[in-house]
Amino acid sequence: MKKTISVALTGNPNVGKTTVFNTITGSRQHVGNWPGVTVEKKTGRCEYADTSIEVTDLPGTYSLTAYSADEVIARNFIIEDNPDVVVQVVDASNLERNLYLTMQLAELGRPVIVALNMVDVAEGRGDTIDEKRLSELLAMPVVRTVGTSGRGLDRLLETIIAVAAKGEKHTHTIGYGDEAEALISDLVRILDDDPALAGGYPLRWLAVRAIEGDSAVLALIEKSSVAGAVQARLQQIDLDEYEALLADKRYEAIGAILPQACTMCVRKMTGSDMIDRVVTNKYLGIPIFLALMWGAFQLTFAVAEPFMAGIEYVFGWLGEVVAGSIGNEWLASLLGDGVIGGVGGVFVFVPNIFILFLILSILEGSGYLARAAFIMDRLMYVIGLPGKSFIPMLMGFGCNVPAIMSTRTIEDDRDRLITILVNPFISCGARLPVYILFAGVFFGRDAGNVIFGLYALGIVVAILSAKLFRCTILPGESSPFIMEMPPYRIPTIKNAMLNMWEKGSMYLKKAGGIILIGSLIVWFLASYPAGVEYGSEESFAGMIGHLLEPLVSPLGLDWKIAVALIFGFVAKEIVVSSLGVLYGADEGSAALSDALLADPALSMAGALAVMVFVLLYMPCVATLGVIKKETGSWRWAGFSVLYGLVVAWILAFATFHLASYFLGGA
Amino acid sequence: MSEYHKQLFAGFLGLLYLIVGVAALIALVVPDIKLFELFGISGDPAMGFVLVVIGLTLISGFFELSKKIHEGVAYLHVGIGLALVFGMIWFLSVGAEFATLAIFEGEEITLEMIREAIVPQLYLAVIALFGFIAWGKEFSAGLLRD
Repeated sequence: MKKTISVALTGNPNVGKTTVFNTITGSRQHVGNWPGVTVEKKTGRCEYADTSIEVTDLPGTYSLTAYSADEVIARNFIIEDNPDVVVQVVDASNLERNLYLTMQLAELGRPVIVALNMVDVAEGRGDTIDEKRLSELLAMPVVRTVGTSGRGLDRLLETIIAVAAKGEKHTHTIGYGDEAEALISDLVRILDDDPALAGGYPLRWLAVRAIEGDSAVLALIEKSSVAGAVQARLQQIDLDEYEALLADKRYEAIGAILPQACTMCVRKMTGSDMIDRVVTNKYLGIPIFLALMWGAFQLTFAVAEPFMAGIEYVFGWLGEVVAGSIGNEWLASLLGDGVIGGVGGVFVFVPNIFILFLILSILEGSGYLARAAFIMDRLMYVIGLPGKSFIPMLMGFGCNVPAIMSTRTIEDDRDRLITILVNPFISCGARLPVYILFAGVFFGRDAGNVIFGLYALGIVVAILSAKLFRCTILPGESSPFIMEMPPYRIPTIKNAMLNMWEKGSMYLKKAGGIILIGSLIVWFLASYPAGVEYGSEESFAGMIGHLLEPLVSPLGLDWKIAVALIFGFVAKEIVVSSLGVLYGADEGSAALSDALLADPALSMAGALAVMVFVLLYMPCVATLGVIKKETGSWRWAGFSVLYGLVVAWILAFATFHLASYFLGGA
Repeated sequence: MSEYHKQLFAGFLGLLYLIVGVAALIALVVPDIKLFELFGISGDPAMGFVLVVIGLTLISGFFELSKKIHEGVAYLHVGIGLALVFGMIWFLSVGAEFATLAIFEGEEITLEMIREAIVPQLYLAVIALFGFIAWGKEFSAGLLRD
């Protein structure tokens, strides 16, 4: 029978854990060039030398002091799930900071291997690392790896198997000095009296963590039979002083190890430092960010044009085939109006979605998006949120679901809640088809500018809402923002394409699933009761629309838009497919564009109001689900819907009337 | 080439971008200025803004280099990078538009259409390209492939 080994992959954020994980297990987990991409543990398996290795990729953590939700996940897994081997992926180009976690892992008494990752980066900078010496000093195996190219990963797997076979626990820990060691020994003796603690945790580690005031560890001890004795011993000392002493001793140990194992070159200004001087400049940082975002949307809109025309051509041809070859009127309407009009109307925007995701992948992979969070920090601080909150906002450009999940990296619960509540205002990829349709039809060459304006409006509304929440329902001080800037890198085409496909394929799946179902429901509502004219005011869709019309008519919209907006709650793309069905655009999106342009009920001002409303009105079903999951309450999910609807209505109303005034209702 | 050449290039190109960017913003308010039309400048707030940002970046480099601050070269590098990126964006956008017209709408691409497509974003990027050719290796030396 094959032997199975469980391996935990841990390390600081943005050291390449997920890249190593993907290469070892053949998975395709998202890799980003910023800290906090992995917020949940992910498991994969690989077979090597007759051994089955189960690898768990843990969220990045700077230390085993768990402050944020993702750090708690990482620590609990290592301690409670007791993996056979812990592999710490270390950024070789930043050894000093990474070794702090190594020092803490050593105290856990688990078999630890250090994967010296990104050695190519370190070597490129002129660092020379003697891994044999480092291994001797740390008393744990050290393996050189380059996750992206797979260099050294075979050796890493061989070392994992060898270490697991030995089954030896790591016993080499650093000394904290006589006084602290005496305290640790006392605490270990006390903790040893509780069999539950002694059986489940490394006692020296528990003692050290208790001295450092780790709230999770203190809560654990609180429940034990030795709680009183531990408290009594801790009350005899100045905890702050000891906490500082322990951290100093770890850095002292790192300071002693480094010169023996690593020849660091004199640090000079790197290429990354040079670029950062400009793009994070106090005055130029935000304008450069805005310019790049505008460029991204311009490119998304313009470059997709020939591809969209090609898809339109195919769907137009399909529409003609259906109309010409199917005698049964009902079936022809179902396929033509329902399937081709609905799904085809959405499918045509696939190129835009893919191009946008490609650009975002390139920006993310280059390391620029991390700078965007940094430059927004000052503004975020003014509104009372940490700059860290801007990362989930940027991720929201792709999809709000993973963006909301990524808020787990935010330590403060109120900061986190505010970031979750404002995230639906960040325009996700699903809303892009609506903008492209309306902006393309009503604004021609200025469509790119209009779309950029909508994305910017989403950010502004999110920031102002955060300020409002901070001043009213969720008061508090924002926590300081510490973020390590990843180095700039030229993204590989493979990684950028992979990321693009990972996100874009979700859209394709939606087109064939939920959007198709939504289109068929709208088709049914537009076709029945039997005998009514398709899509007429007498149809069910017409009745629902007329019921809602009083709500949307102040925004310059009619009943058809109201029906489309209702279905957009399921997924925002359904707004477009619903319009395709309701306008009977059975020859693809060109027919829908013509129909919208010909509709006397719609004007440029009305088109702007639709886009603003779709941008802000409410999270889709999937986002609502994740808000409930992350806040642990339907109350906040409901609040998000209600608040979104109110803000959307007010701003769409203002947009319609202002635009009518300036554009003359053209 | 010496830092003096970099300084001159940053100043010259920065000024060009700034002038054209401001002109694009002025053209919003005062359309039909013949001189602007000659240089393909039209009233476009977004394009004007982008050109001004590139211009300011390069001019910041000029001032730092003139104060003998070596790190000022970063502004020149980033400014050239931005100029090339936005030139490329325009080039791809126009290429896509022409492809759509030629393939799906059966239109012929005329010289007039090509002339109209030559806007400041594009021809200024060609000047920036000379800077990239001169200092490109230095520019990308610090960057790493992921």
